[in-house]
Amino acid sequence: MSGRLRYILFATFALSGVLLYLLATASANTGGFTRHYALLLKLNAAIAVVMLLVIAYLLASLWRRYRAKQFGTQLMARLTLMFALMAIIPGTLVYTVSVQFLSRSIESWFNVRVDASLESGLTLARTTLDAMLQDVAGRSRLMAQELTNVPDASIGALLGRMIDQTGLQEAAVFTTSGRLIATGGTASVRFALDMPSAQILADAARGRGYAGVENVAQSADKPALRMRVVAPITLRLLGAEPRVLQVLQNVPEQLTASAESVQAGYRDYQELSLSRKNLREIYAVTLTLTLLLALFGAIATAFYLSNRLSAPLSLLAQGTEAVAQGDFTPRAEIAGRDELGMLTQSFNRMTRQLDEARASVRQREAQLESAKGYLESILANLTAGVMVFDPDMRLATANQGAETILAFDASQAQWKPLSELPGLADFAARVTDAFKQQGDRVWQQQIELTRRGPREADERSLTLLVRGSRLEVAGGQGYIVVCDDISELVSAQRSAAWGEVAQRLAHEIKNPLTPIQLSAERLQMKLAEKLAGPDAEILARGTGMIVSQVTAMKNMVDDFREYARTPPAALASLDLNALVREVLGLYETAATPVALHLDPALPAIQGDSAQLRQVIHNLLQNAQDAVAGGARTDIELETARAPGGARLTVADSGPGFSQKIIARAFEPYVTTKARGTGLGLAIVKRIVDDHHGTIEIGNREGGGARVSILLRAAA
Amino acid sequence: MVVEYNIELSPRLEEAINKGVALFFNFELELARPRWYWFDEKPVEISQTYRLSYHALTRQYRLSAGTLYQSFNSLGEALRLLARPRPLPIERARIRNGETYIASVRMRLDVNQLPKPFQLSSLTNREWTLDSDWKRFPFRPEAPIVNSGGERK
Repeated sequence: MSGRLRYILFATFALSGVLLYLLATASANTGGFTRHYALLLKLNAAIAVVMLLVIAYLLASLWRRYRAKQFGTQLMARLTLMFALMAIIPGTLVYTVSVQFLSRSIESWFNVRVDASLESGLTLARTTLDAMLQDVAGRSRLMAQELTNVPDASIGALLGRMIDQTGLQEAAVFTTSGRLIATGGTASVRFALDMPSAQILADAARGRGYAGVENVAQSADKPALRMRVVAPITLRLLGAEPRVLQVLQNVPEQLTASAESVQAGYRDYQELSLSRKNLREIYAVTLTLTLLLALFGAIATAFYLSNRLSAPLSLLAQGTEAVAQGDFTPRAEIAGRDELGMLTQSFNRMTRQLDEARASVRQREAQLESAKGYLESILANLTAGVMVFDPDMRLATANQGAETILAFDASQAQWKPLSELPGLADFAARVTDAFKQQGDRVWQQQIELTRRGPREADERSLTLLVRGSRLEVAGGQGYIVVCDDISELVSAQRSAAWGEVAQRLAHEIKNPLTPIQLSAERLQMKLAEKLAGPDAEILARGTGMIVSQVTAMKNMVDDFREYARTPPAALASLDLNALVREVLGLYETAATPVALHLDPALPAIQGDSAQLRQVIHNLLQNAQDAVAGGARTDIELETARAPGGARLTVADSGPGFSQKIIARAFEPYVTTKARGTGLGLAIVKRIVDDHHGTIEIGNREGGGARVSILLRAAA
Repeated sequence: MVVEYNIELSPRLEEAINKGVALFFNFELELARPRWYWFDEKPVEISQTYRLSYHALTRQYRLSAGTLYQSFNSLGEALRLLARPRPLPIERARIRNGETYIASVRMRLDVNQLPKPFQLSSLTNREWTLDSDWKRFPFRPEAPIVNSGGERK
């Protein structure tokens, strides 16, 4: 219920109270409002109509809210109904009894005995007056007889005498045309003017007298009655105008008062009797209006009260709905220390706690999320591959490391058995076997894996260190497999081992070589002159052979030493193109010319010029060896810009690398040459590693080997 | 001016009179000068109240106006006199000669002076009302005011 409506209601209540009071006062027939009774009635009816409209509006709005299924409306409707009934039932009861009582009591005022006694009273008064009138009339007639034939001049004196004798108050003689002849009496001047009416005079002229009581009251509260008797005077004189005698006599005041009061009572009774139906209606209308106003007021108050009672509930309902939708803003609290106020307060407290709980849950979720993200980023950045399988060995999760190592796409491989992934059937078999054999224990195995690329040349052999264990997860059992690509490590280990062996061998072999060579040369010197002929020739050939073989062996040993003891690279800014040209100077006389493709915009790189010279040298030497004896001899050297540095590529038209060689080409003692130590590429690899560069080997598309080195640009 | 009405009391009113209820009649006269720019000017608004009652003791009907009264033996006589109300005096100072006024007269039963129970009936019952409605005619005062003819209803 809006505030404005409330004010309207209060104003209407006050107005109707005042109007009802006035109406009741007017109905009681005492106040000065009697004259405005009709107006009051209309005003009250108007107020009733206004209240009815207000109530209709309230009902309509309640119905609208009820139809809209607004929470609290049912309660409000029920409360309103109860409050209204509390007012309507007693009100109607009192009203019915009052109306009944009223009509009965009004009817009881009127009965035959009262009617008859009042009638008798009036008749009594009339009879008394009539008797007095007859008396006066009799005396008047006697006077009139005495006045017969009395000349006009002596009438006045005679009248005065007669009045004194009869005790009458006033007598006058007129002609029938109304001319005054004479008067006599106590108040002659005043009465003289009171002429009989023309009608009476006319009757008197025809010999008929008149006797009547007249009401001469000047005002209602001063009743006055007067008897008037007109008697014709018989004339013996023919032709003369007939005369009449008029006698006026006041009825004694006490009698007048009594008669008047009897008449007033009779009149009031008659009036009441005539209007009793109206009277009943008046009271009924007043009562009905009072009832209506009271009822409407009660109903409106019922609306107001029920609204006040159900408002907190609606507020709570809105709050509940808002909470259900996740809105925890506090609701307006109902002021007051009653249960409703406490209810809203505790509701707000509850929403506040809910809000806090939700906030803390969200915070925890965020923490978990970030922790999970942290773990995931750790997993993703691990070079080790981590894979989780369900009990049926289907892939649940795999990190980026696993994707890189095993070359599959985790998003497509999810929930597929490991054995169905391309190229991983052997791997899967090994892993499954390991789990079967080891049971619940953690196992570790080294697994060789051949990874095929789209081209045959891309095929690589990987050495993986795989660890597996059972995983207890919430959904049951699972497996976790961690694999490390240890190919590089193995290769490095191999290189290190070879370095060690080479150094030992070099040391052990080189020591006896010099005495062998010296001994052979000494044999040659001492015995050459003593022997002759074919013996000398054999000696010369033999010692020559020894010396040359020892020299070759020394070279080989030096190679080994060099491999084992390559000094750490001293990196400096370097022009790769200049270095290439410098090295190429040595190959101008070589069997196969080298075709140069140098990128003029090559950035300066960081490198050790002595070691890089060795790299270029080794690569060109390999190429020369590879093309020697071939049908097509073709060597290309190319430098080019590359992301992060410069690329040096040497390609030849030789037989190229076999698959087996590619995997282990950088390991010492792996060679395709009949007479090679197999250290060339191993040294190259080592130097490139020291330069933090990368080296790739492969085969040219047109046939032949191709080695490409990526060197970092100078800082 | 002389106005004559034909007053006929309804049976209910006649009964009321004979039971002693006093009836009040208002004879009203208005002079209005029409004004195009505002409400009509009403320089003269006068009325005369007549009281008609029955005196049961003397069985006479009494018609009084102010302190003047006249008694009649029959209701008809009283009504005949009431039907020709005395002309109402118009104050000369209030009107101007040569100006045209709209004069309005009416005779009606003053319901508000009825006893209260009858007022209620008069709200709903036509029997309790007696009203001639306004009679309008143009009025042009000349130097001496003469009765400007009668009107009959």
